[in-house]
Amino acid sequence: MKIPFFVALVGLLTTASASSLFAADTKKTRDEMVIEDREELLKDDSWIYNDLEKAKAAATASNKPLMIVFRCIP
Amino acid sequence: MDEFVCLRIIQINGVDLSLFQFDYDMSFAVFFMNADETIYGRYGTRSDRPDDANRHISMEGLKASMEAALSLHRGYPDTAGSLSGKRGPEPRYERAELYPDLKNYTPKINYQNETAKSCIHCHQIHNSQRQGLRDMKSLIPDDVLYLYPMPEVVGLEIDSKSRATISQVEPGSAAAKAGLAAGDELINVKGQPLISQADLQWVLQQADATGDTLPMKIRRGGETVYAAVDLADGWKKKTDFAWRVSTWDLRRMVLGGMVVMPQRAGREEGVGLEVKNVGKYGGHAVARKAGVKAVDKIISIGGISDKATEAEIIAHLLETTKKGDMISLTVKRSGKAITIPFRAQ
Repeated sequence: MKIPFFVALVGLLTTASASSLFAADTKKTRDEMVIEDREELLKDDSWIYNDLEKAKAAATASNKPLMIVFRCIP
Repeated sequence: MDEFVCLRIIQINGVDLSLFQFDYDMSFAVFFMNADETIYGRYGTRSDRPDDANRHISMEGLKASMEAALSLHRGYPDTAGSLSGKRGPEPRYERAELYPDLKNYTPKINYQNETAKSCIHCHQIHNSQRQGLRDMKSLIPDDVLYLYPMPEVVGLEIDSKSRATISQVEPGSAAAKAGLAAGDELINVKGQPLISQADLQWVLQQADATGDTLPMKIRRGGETVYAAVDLADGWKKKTDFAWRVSTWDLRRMVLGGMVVMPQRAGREEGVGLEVKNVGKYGGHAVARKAGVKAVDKIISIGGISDKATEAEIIAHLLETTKKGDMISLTVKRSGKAITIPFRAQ
């Protein structure tokens, strides 16, 4: 689990610093990219997608801090 | 990573703006927070160099911020007192979709058939704040125009691979006058523990634009030292905001939709800028409809005829015009001066 978890974050950072990756991918519409991204993250147990209350409950139960990533799909 | 509960948010619809206050021009921003909504810190910085994002963010820097956030979490609630300043003042509207010009949006994205169209982008908050002020014929204050000043504004450059270590101090700057030096590690500023450069920008965003003092606790060569950076009246005006996504809407307001760029070096005339392109649609087409064309050299605009940056011109026009006022523009095209007035929005 640790490797994909880290890879997911690297992916987020990489796309933040290399928007040209998206620019080069002209085949996908913005809608398709957002939906694809959503589907991937919903399958990934290491991320909670767009649900603050669920994340807060998980943080309370585990006594872990929250890391909340605001990431726009360009 | 396993020591955090990770949450991904991709839109600002439905987000509690009293809690999540950050530089909304970011397309990547991180919040570290306790489950009780106490904020440990922020991560994510961008500036006028989109071609060089690593100048401000890096995996090493993020890791350092994560470790600092974990340290604050381990010390919680003893650390709670120092964290109160990490929350901002109550916003005018609690959620983005309550802004009058965003009222057609819903709190959630419609993933069925208009995913992107139903998304409120973070930068639209900045746009709406400013439009609200323009609609009320009010001036846009420095805090709303010169957003989240970069540390460079006070003479500091932060090492992107560190939590908050100074890599460079500009001679003669406010930071230099306070005795700060390269290698200094900023521990806290104005009583707030820093976990990143974004945290320093948060402090700068909250600091008084008419003058302020930033007390700092610093680690220098294994020792703890203290300094205070004095900020003069108008210090935020050094911030160049032209790179920001939200500046697009400022161009509509006072440039009629023109995007400008520096004229060729050595052959500058007037303000030293020329029209790169002119908007085609809606409020962004005002300059085009008035007769402005790409490559027109701007000789004077709104009373400015000396060399100026795009941000300086926009700031001047926002200060000196209200919605509906006429803005005077003189351009040079094929060697001939042409006056093209257009209306501010």
